[in-house]
Amino acid sequence: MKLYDYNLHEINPNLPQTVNPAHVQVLLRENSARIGTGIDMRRPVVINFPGGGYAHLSERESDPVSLQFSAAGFQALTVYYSCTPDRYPVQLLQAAAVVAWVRQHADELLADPENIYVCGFSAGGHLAASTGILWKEPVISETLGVDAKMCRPDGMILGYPVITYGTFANPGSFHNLLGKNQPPQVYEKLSLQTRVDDTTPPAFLWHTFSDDAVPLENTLMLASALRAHMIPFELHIFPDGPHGLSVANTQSSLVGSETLINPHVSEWMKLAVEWVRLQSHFE
Amino acid sequence: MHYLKMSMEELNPRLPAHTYPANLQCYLRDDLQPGAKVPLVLTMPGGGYSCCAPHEGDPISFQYLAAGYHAMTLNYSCAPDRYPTALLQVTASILWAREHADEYGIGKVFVCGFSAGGHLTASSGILWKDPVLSETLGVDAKLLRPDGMILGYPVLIWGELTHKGSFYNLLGQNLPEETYAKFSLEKRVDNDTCPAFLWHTFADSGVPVENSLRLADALRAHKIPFELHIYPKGGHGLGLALGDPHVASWMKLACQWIALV
Repeated sequence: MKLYDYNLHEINPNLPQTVNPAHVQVLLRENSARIGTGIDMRRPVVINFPGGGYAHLSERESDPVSLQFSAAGFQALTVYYSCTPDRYPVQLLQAAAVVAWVRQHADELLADPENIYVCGFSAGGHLAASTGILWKEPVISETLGVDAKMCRPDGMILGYPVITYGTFANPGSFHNLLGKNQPPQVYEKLSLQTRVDDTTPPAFLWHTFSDDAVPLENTLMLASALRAHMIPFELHIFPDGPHGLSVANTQSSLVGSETLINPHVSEWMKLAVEWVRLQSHFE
Repeated sequence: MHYLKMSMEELNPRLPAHTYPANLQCYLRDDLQPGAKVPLVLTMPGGGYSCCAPHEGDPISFQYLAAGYHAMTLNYSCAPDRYPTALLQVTASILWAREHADEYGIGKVFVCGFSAGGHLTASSGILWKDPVLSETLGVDAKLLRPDGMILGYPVLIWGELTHKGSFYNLLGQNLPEETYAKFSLEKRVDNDTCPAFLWHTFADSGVPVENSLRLADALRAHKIPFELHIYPKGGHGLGLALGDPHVASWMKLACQWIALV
């Protein structure tokens, strides 16, 4: 096991300058000739984007999540992307740059370049979903100087994601991402359920019914859009639990609060790990 | 354990005559502390309203027993018996459980069904106020409302994405369109519908996942809480999904859900 931390300009010098510096943490699982399938093992990769309304990054959705994917045997990365006042598409460029970088460096990272997953929560779910749904946007390949296909994740794991603009929006996330007082069409362009197409990667979605910060409709609308394009997905909706549960156990709960501990909801992580294993044929 | 096997005549003499043989098997715990009550789950197998598939009956009930609940399996009347014969049998089973709650320590009463049995189960959770039920059984409708419904790859909707055979077996063939449309259950959800636990596979080619997605949308519109699990792989009719450990997680989740409702 090794831990690396890179400023994102180290992995792609073409990324725009930002007010808030961005970096990526890599939890690198190493291989052994005596373990598993041996020294040449290529592991699935999960690139995690914590949430925080595009205003900050939740530490509760950073290491507690990535460490679970690392424990499952995957290469686990956490992207500390730029939040407000840095605006779209800076965050998307950063996310896509990490996907392309992992794929380009699959050998050094002991990574399976065909099984690179993005994972995100709340606004980080919006970013992860943007990476999966908008990967063909010309601004990405043109700015980063890489083939668009290098930037397409092979799947996306979205926990209580911000998806839709309009009746069921989490407006703060859109304001921090795009600035306030923009014409509605600026926000609507990133209402991601309208942007799904036949090249969108498979998805694993989860949400709680009682989430009052990001309404469940965000996930239901994305599920309907994925189905309309026959993009396979896994979906878990739990009835009870507030927004921002993360892994929903003592590894992510807030000091002095028990509302963020929920053994029923915490089943999602085991299901997500199984989903990655099944998608990637990684035993 | 108390084991009871009842004919429909024994269950409730007010039930209508039926051609397709039906029975209710009851597995009632005798290991409870005096005065204690635990939930009961009444399971209805699928089979397109033409039969009751054995792998979606007792094997399911035994899992609920192992989780600490009471269980009943209803092998209900299928074609040529038509609506509302089977729904009355389900409703009479719920009523029986409620009327014997103190005797056996039965708490909340849940219904569980698969495929067409899911349609029947959802009918009981959504249509429980239908006067034909309370009038036939001669009781207050409130006694007939299940406390929650568990639906596995349920048949729910009429139209392009329906499972036609189930509707034909339930209602008869060559009927006016509106007769079938009336049992497109996502349209019948109201604020009195009971909470739901739904699961389905994306790849189900027998009953498309839209059946569960549309019910979820309808439940959400009426703020009826639900739990929903969609697994990407796996065909129709998996039951406990013993050959697929990923999909098999639904049963543990359902047992947890029952305790939380």
